[in-house]
Amino acid sequence: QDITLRASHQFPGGKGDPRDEMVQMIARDVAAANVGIKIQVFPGASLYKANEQWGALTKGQLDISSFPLDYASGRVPQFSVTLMPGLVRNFDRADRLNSSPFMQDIKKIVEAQGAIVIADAWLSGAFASKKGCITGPDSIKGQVTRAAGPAFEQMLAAAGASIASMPSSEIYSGMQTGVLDATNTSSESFVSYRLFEQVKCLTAPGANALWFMYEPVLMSKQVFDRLKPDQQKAILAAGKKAQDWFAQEVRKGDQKLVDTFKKAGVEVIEMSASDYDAWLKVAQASAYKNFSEKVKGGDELIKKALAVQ
Amino acid sequence: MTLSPTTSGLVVIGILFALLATGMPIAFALGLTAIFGLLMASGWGVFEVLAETMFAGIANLAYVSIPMFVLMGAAVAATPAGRDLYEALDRWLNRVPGGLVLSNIGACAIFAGMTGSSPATCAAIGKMGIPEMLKRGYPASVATGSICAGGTLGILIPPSVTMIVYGIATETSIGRLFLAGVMPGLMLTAMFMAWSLYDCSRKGFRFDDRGTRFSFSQKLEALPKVLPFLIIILGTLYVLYGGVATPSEAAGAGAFLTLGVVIVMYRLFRPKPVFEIFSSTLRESVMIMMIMASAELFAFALSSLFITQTVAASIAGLDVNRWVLMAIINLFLLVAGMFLPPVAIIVMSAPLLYPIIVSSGFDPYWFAVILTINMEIGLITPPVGLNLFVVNAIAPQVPTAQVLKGALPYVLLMIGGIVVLSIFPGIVTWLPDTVMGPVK
Amino acid sequence: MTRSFLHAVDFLSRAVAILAGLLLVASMVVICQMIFMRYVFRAPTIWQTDFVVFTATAAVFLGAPYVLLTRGHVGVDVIEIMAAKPVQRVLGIIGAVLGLLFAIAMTVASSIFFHEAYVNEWRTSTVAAITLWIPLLPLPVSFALLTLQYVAELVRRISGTDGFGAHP
Ligand code: NA
Ligand code: NA
Repeated sequence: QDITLRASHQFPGGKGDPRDEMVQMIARDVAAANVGIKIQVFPGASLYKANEQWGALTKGQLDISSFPLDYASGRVPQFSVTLMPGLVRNFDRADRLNSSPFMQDIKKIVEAQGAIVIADAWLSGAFASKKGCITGPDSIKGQVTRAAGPAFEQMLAAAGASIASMPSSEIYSGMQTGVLDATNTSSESFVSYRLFEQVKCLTAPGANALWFMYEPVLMSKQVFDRLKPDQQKAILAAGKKAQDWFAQEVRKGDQKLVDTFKKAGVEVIEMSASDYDAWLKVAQASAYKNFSEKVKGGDELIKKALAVQ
Repeated sequence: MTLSPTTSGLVVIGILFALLATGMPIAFALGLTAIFGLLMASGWGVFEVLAETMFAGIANLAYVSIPMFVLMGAAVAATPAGRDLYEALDRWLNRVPGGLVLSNIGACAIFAGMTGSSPATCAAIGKMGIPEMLKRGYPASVATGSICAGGTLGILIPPSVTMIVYGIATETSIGRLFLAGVMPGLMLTAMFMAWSLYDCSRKGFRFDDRGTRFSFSQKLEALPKVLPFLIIILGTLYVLYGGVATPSEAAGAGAFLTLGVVIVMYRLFRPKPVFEIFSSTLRESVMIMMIMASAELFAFALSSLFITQTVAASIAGLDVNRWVLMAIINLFLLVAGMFLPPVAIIVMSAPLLYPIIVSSGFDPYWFAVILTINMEIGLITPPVGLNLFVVNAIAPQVPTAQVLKGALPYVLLMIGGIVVLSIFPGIVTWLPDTVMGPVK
Repeated sequence: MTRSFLHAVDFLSRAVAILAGLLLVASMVVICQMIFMRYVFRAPTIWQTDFVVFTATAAVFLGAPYVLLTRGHVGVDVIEIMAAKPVQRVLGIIGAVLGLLFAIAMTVASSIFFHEAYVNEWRTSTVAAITLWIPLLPLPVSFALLTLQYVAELVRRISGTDGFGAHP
């Protein structure tokens, strides 16, 4: 009799969302490996809500999941570093980061909490505004902004933005009614919520992207440890394959973002290295500082991340 | 234990019905059934995630608007504002045959613009409307039926508790959902009015104005009394669509504004009426949100037992015309609406139905309206009909059978409304498209 | 003895309901403050969202025992109405036992959740990073009080001093 594992995520199922596809791929490959494991995927938060997955995973109530690790930062404060402005910069650097001591530290913490990473994934994001192009920190001053992630909120508030909280599904109408001037979120959301109809200028993720988010595929450690070695091997191999596939796919997503916005007549720019550095200074004085002071080992984590070439 | 999803589905539904039959609160029946189901699916370990599921199910900024929109209704209902609105309408419609029943339904529609809840609408207008209609000799079935039905407009005409829950469950824009409900709400209002007039005359009731006649100046005098309603509705609309706040936040501002208007204009300074306002707000919003929280647990249990997925797959596997599919969905909603309150149904079924709806090429905003009208029907069908309970409390002398008989035609009208909206979906989409631009 | 137990429980439920009402007011006022700060001063709002969500959620849970006391939770009462008096009584008692069972289960579950949040010093994953046990505290409190209220309910139903009639 096959062991059935339950995989949960919050993204639309079967619609070509690469994060869903990544989990589906793992399920298919593990089934094909014929090691007596069947993975049942519950997409679209149909089993657990996005924020509940970490708890369920570490307690062994859920077997596999894909979600932004930052969602668990209330329980494991170190995880905030995985949605910290300016720590990743671009995809090439994200690849190098994955094999760095920084990520080894993160994965050690993940494991100590009762989960293991079976596939790395970094998502890029962008800025956009109805007022003008977001370049350096001065350009966001006085704009009502929705930020994805608390560390970003700290940095943007320090740059003089006014922060509004709302679910990403309300960004469009927020911009339309004028509640919101600017937003930063994942490239994926920019396209799926059709924000090109509202904004004047997009700061696309290029060589200098401030917004990156770590969204790995995780597995419950209790459950993993109970499996036989060949089963574990099959899962890890499927994870590795999905990880490589995703790394390619996510770059295509950024191209799609730029193309869609350009086609809609939105001005598309990229952040210059000097603007990026100016933002880093703001982040140093706000988000990084806060993280270093409040989180055990926080300072070290940031230093390790920045040390990666 | 490994039961097939179909078997465990039947077991769960069986348990739920058995628990409901004892008359215990629906919220707790849903919750207890969910716990049984989860124990079946995952064993005792599930106790570690129960509380988080329930808590996270309602700890959401958008859901804060539910008590706020209920508070708006409760605040107005605590004042003579309802009577004033009602009187003003009556003075103007006095000469129209059946003016009183028109005033009732019209007052329900206007009041619906200020509260997100149907029972609140029903109670606020019914308290004045039913006794007055009975006094002037209207047939009891018309008096109670029109209020039952008029009250259901509370969740169709914005703001609306069900639209908020649907918006969160499906990640659609709440502001847009609200706008989508406006025209269908007015359409149903007109249909209700037309039917009531016909029904009265059919029953041999003679409209006449031998009662009081109002001079033009008396009519004008009544107008300022509608002012609080205008201030509250326009104020809330401005906050909602004028770039001041998100829909989730607008409810708080609306409630604040309403309390302010009510306290200042009706001099409600004594603690007792204010206490009453909060007591009724608390009672209704706790009732609604406990049901939502338990429905989250129930949905979690259904998903854990793979029941949801099996049902979704079998619906998606139905190789039928999309309108046949829509008819099946409507039938399901009608049956569910007989037994469960609207929010429970939406929490449990919207995430399941939404992908099916969208992939069959239906507009999710249009479907929200269709779903809401189904939920309105559920409010006036036995055995669980919140508006029936309210009317029963207001007019205990009218036998339940009479109330049901009076409400039945409105059920048919609402089904007719669904048909009309299916033929002319533009009635739903025109206003949101005009105000917010066409949807993706 | 029984009487004073019933009185004490009813009193507690009412007192907690008043707290719930105040929390609703606080939630409403802070929403307005947040809108005002942002709309008028374009100032950042940091703690308001968490505050608003958690006060309103606390109000809902804390209000539950009072709503049970005042028969505000809706139920299916058809069978209860149609049945003969003795059957009604038995149904009422079974219903109260089941309600009690749910209240106990949730008291246990929410105590586990609260305890975990407390010992692990969990916080919210938001910028305000609120200590999570504070907004979670209303859960075990509410469900424990709901349990007591159900015991009181059961006592009334068994002794036949149920002055409230069927659930509306
Ligand atoms: Na309404
Ligand atoms: Na019903």
